[in-house]
Amino acid sequence: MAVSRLSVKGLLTSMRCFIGYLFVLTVIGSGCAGRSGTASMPKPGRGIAEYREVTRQAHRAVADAVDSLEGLKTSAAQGSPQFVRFDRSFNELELTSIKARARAEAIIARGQNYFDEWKEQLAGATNRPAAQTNYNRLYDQFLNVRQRSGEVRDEFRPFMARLRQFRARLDRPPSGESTASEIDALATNGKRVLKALDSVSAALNEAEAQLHAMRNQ
Amino acid sequence: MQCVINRTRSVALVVWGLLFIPHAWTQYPGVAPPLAGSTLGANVRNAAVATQNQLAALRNVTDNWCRRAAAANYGDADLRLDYDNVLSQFQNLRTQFNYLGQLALQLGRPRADNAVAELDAGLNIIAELFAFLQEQYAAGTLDRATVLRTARLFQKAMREWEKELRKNTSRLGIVW
Repeated sequence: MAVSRLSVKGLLTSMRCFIGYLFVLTVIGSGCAGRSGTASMPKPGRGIAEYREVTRQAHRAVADAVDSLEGLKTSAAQGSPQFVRFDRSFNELELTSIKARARAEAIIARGQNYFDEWKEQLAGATNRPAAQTNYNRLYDQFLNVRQRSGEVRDEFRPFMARLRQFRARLDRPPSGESTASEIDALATNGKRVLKALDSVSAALNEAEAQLHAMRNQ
Repeated sequence: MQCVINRTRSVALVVWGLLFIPHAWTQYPGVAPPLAGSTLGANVRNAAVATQNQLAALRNVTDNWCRRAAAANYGDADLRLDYDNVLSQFQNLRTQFNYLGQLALQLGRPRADNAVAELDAGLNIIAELFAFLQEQYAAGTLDRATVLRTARLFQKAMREWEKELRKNTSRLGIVW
């Protein structure tokens, strides 16, 4: 009997705590829901600058991976400094490349619609006579970036797929030693990725310079 | 006569049951859609919360996968179980993110549309890791070291994707 009274008391205490918790949540929640307004506007040219930054990071990661890959020609044995360096750069590349590749994929998939976000950056100049010229110039720059993003996509995907297979082979002790020709083929592939990334970076630099010139008009 | 009435009643009961019961069970065969709010903004916010919740579920099974794959006796049955769990939670995340994406597209803002496209492409790229594991498994060359390395890579990639999702909240039009 005493036990059941104790249980009922405990239950009531728990319920009070739960109701109190719910009350606090409701107050906090309603406070959040009550906030209104629009999401903050981006700085002009932010999209271009961000894409350039992720491209730069991806370039650095690919260059490091290619360099460490060539180091495996001397020794690909697990635990060797060359192997450790390659393993680290491969992991870094896997993570870093996602953003650059995703950006390239989105630009290609959305096509002209992607440009609408860039176009918003010209909004302040709509009343000027040069607005249409500016629009056309920026659009040309966008098409250039888009075309070069296609090259990044086409080169990056097979490179990553081959690199993953290569890395998996290094995990297997009997065939752990890789051949120099395999490494050379991968390095050549990686250099094509680097070239495509350079090309996108150059196009993004031009687009940013164009946007900067338009703002100074 | 009484027998015919009873039979008619039974048939009617079965028909009634067939008409009403299945609706309660088959509404959401996969993941439940997020709660509908009073405005589009509230719907987007609810969908973002549902996506975050699904991310937490995926994080949980991925952490388990990484922990289990590190064990020396990790075998084929363990891999199949973990792979299926992680893939299933990843697909649920895609479903939740698709809801969020569809709602964000209704905002009619290029920034939101581009953010959705970039995040969606990010998930597609991460999903290449599943394809890689499947290829290696089918070829009979998948070993524990590769599984563990890929599981950890997937774990880190999803963390990066989560960071990107949070970074893009304003672009997606989510106001907390």
